[in-house]
Amino acid sequence: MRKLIYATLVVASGAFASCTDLNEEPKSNIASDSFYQTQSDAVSAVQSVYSDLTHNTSGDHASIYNRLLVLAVGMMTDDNIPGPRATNPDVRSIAALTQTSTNTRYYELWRQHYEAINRANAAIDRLPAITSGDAAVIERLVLEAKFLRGLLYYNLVRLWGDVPLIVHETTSLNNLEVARTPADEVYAQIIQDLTEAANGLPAKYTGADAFRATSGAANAVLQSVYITRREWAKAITQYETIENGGYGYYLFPNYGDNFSTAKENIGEHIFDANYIADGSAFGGGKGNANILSYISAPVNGFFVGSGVGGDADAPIAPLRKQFKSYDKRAAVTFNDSVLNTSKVKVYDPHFYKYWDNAASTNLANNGVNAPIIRYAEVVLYYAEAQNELNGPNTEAYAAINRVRNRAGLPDLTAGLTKDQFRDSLFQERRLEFVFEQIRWFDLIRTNGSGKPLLTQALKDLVDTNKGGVPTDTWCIAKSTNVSDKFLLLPIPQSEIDANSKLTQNTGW
Amino acid sequence: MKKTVKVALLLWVILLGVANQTQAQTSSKLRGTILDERTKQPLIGVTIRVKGTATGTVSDIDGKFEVTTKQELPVSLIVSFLGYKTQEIEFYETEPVDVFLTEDANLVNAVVVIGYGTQKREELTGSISSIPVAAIKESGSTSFVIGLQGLATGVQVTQSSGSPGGSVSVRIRGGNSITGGNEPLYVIDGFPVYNDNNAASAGAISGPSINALSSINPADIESIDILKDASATAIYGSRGANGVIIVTTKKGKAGKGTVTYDGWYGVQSVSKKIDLLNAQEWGIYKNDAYANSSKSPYYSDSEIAALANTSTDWQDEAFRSAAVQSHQLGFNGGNESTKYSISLGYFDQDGIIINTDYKRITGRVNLTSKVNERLNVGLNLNGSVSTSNVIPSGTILSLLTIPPTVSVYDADGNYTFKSPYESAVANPIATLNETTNETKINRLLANTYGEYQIIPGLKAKILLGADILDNKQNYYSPSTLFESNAVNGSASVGSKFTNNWLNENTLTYTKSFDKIHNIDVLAGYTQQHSKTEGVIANAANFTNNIVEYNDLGSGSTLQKPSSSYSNWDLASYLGRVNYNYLQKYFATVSLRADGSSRLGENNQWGYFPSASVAWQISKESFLSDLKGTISNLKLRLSAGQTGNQEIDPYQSLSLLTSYSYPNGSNTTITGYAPSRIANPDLKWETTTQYDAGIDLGLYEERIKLVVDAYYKKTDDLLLSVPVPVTSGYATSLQNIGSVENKGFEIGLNTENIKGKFRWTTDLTYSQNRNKVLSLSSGVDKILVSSEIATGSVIKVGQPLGSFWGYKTDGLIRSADQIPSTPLLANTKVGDVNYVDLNNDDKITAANDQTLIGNAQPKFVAGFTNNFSYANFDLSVFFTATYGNKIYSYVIQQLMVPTGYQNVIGGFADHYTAENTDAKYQRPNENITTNAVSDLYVFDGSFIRLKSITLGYTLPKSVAAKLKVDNVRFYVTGQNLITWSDYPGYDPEVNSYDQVSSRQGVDTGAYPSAKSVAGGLSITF
Repeated sequence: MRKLIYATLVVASGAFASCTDLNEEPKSNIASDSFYQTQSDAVSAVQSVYSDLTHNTSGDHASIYNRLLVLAVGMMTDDNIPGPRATNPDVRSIAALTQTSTNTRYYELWRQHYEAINRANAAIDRLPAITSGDAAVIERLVLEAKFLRGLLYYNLVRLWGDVPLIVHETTSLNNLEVARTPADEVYAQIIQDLTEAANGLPAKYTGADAFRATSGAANAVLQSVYITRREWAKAITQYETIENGGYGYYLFPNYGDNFSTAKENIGEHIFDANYIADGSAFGGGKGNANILSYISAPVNGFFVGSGVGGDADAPIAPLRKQFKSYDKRAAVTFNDSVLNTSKVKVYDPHFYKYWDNAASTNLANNGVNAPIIRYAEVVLYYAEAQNELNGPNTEAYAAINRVRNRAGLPDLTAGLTKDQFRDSLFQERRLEFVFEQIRWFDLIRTNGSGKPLLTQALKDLVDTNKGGVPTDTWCIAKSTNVSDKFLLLPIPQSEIDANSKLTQNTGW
Repeated sequence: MKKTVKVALLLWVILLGVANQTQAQTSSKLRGTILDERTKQPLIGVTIRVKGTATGTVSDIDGKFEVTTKQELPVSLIVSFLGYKTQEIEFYETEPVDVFLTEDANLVNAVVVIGYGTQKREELTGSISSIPVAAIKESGSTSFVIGLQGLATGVQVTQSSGSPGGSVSVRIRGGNSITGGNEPLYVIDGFPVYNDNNAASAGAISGPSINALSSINPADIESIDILKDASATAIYGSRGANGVIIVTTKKGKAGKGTVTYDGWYGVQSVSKKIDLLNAQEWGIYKNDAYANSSKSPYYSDSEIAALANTSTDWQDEAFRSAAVQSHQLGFNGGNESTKYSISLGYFDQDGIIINTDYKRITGRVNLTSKVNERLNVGLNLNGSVSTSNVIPSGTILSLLTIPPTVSVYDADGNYTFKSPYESAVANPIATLNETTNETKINRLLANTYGEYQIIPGLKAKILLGADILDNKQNYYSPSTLFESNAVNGSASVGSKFTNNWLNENTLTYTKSFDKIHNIDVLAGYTQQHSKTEGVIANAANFTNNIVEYNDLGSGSTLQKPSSSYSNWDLASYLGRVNYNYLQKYFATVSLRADGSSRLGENNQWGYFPSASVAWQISKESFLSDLKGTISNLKLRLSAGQTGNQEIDPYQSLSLLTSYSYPNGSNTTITGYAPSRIANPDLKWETTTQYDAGIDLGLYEERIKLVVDAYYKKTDDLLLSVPVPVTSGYATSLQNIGSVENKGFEIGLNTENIKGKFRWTTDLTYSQNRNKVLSLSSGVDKILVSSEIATGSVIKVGQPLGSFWGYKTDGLIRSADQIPSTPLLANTKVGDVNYVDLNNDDKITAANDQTLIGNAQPKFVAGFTNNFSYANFDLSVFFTATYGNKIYSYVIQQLMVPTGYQNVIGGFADHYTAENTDAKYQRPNENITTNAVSDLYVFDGSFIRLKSITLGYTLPKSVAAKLKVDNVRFYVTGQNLITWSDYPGYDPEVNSYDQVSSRQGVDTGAYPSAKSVAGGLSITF
């Protein structure tokens, strides 16, 4: 019996000597609970929100500002079509306006915005509790996160209308289904976030911090919000705030400087998607390099020795014709001659806007920043607000002419009516911002005329008087299929499946 | 005191008297030799017992025995030996006899290894298959896992590809899980191993993965037992749901030491080539593609004519006849107290594709020793070193798609750089010859134990074990290759170290109460800990191709290195009671409690019970009259629950992942954000299984039948379910959904002819029906998305491995057949006719895709016939799979009609204005990718002559003259003939290996080989 006890003890001691610890310690990952402790944690938390602007780390798709907006909405405009190598049926259906709510590009655009918003929410919720480090820096970082949250919700509310408004980090699997919030409430949150950012963020940064959101950026996006909401007086006030805020924004004398690695985050730049040339985005649009150059460049290159491109994002036939021969923007926006299969130059305009000569042999190294909002837009918004509030007055003319003159165009014809001025202004915006993910938002917003531009603009694609090409299949498809339902995108079907509280937009 | 002495003396005298009396009786010496009926080898250690007495002996090294009995002749001897049929021999005289023992293929009376113990087969209440290991040994397989094919019921073994050392997937009674693993648990000499091939791959190279279990030399295996029902597997709790394969390596036996040499040498060649266009056919095809794209012909008529002489058969360039050989030395022996078994093995297989191979050196020591009457200790060491040159991924596809008009070498004798046509296919021969794509695996499986008998029947055992798996991978693609020309050479190295520790503490108690009530109790506590660390480094842009991957620092483009860490822990309590009444009525109950670190903190502990009963009807008196007919009849019933927790560690935690973004100084700042919502409730999948079985033996076991029917339902699937993405996350791993498997298995062994000429037949038949019962609410199907579209879908009401895509109906042969919105813009007459399922004149993904097949076979079967005559033996083994479909991505790629690359040979009959009855579509530059459709779904049924082996064992008299104990020669042919309609290389294919949601896909697998080998086995 005694032996039995001994043996039992031996077995038992073996069992408990190294009592297995079932708590997990994931050494190669940080657990949420051990993070958000220091100032550098705070920097990293906010950096992950910036990262979502140009990086998509899950799946094959492009990221918000690194091509996804081009695919999801740019393709629907009267500027873009899929090039010969853009064979994806989802993208092609968007461009032909035959898409449905199951289109993966809409799912991705929706998902990536909310992913970034959740990261911003995490920073906004958690950073104020950090006690280690410079309190002023941490406060600034919270405001940067609020700026980004405001920018992201501004995209969502314009694209989808009423959207679920979520302002706190998701920390559990409970209550994940959130209903759509009326657009006005979403706008109230956007204005609150941007106003706080405008009041609290620094006017300028230096050195490595130059990519960060400034108070000027917040004011500029706020101006855009007021324009979209047709609060013209507030938009004019915002212009004055920006002019007098000591930001020192100016139009680059040379239009092309907006797309040069030598002039980043200064001058005309207010807020950019920042890229560097580390070869990380080849074909993907989800890394540190700007994919827009590669993806629009021709298969055989522009000239011998230049990198070969994806030939997937192309200008629609009528677009090139909109530019006057002396418009200096044309040569920056397009390269008209490309090499064909026999390496002979042929006329075939391709987007050239983000071309970085330093990366000409390997387009994956393209480090040119892509503007999200630049000073030319602030100026044109001012012209628009003046025209809508006070008619085409001298301020309105002066503003639009600043942009025209820089492009080598003469002053806008004097004596236009308010409606004519509006038409000229939208045309100017179209030419100024080709391939900058602005056109779609201009087409869908209800402007001073009380209607959005969309239907007319797409119908004009087959109107030879407006430079339309009635024989072009894309022009035909867009002008035939356009309807008011496109003013709001469909809520992704999978999201409706996963969230019983969501309703679909009209017509989808 | 004196009195006591007197009594003792008196007793002594009495005892002596009795002894004298017995000696006075007649005694007979019975002598003989025990031989294996098939191999004619002497059998050592066979138990010979005089019937009705305790007198007995064991046979010696030459199989000889001698028993002295006082009983009067005739005397019956009972001759019994593990794995052989017990025989009763009547001695009428004392002349020596030769006793031929027959191998017991079904091992009815043999000892079966079960979880944490052994049991006699006749006492089993659960469903367990034992594998005849001899068949595996001579099969020439790299791994015993491949050898299991067709030998056990309820087990489906699929080689992922023919790649040397390549991976294998095993399904026991179907797949239960969608996200979690579906591979069975392997228990190797008591050490539980989940065969995760990722553990053997650092991730620095590309190509098919290596089977981590290839490190076990098949020749070292003594027995394999496959636990299938819940009664057998529940003792493995949260790892038992996929079945358990118990592998026991050879142990030493008492007696004269022996030296064994086993060696074989074979030659392999490709089983089948894929029919492709030759240069001339392709030239015509290319011209038609140009014509259909309004281009002038690529080739002139005279050039087309000249192409007849310059065709490159790229498959012939890459395939070779390749040698494979194996040599093994074994040392066995010991005495009553200490026994040893030591072996050294060398295996060397060249792949049938140039520059691919697998080499392995194994060493093994098994030692058991009886320290004293109560204490036994033992040691198992199983070490292996293997190296494999793996085919770089995509090479098979390049080999097939590169046009036959391209030559391997250019006019200067250098490799042609790439295909000059629109699709830039790299020269696959250059890729094969010049790329280093090497993986090295060192594995040590070791355990040691001590077993102490506390009181008779009660034993305590403590086992300590380690499984140490190291992998190193080297990759170099030189700048001379198309793939790496742009980056000027690309190199990677990677290492992965996995250490897995085990401690088991068990108590067993065996007791028989008057031989009526027999119990056997097990209780224990075990703990297992695993830790994996990995590192990968890459560089590119080398000034020359000399240092390759050996000096990454010399590359001028250094890429981000990566390192990783993960660990898991499992703590378990287990208990089991086996009870039988008069060896007639049997019952087993078991319970295991598992605590797993991988699961959510609220649900780390799971409890897995099972119960089973069996009734040995043939021992009932009412059947005793039929004993001549029904020699064995047993009914078995079992029910129980098992689990599955095969997910990566840390899935229940909210972890941060790094996401970087450039700063204003052209470098980046690393950001961190949560990448997952914590799920503290995450738990194991639970499989509830019911099994009913009958074991039937007829005519003295000449016909043996084992039939099992089962039903399995798996709930709480570990499923990555979509959550509203407004949460910031797309999916969350939760316990949602269920899957069922039901089926039945038949194992039939017959001894058709007995005597000098002997013929036996073994048949296995397994059928399983798998069905997804539910997914998360509102979700009817999950399409598995990937850059390589294979149509794989998980759909409620359908089996796992289903395919989803368009249906086709030949070609569009008139313009009115073109829908208003065709699937592909610019669809014309001569293109594929996709079926408009909802008749809306539009072909859309939403409305016109449907189920187009599934990868689950209706049944799998194995059929073996063994013949022996005198010293010759012949074994013919067929396997068959019926009713499964293959989605062939490789054929899809070979049907891309652009004319940019080569296509299947059938495309010679393509649609043109002159050939409107053509089978295949017009060449057409408009179609650069093919939609997933039933065009690429093929019947995967096949019958294969898996092996045919002819052996000859030297007669003992000849062997004795050569001063050896035993010599056996054999020749064997493997995979010689396969009957199948599959147009790819081999219908036995599974490119996504262990990924449960993408079964039955061929993305361009390494082709399988047929081989012929000759072998020799000598025992000294």
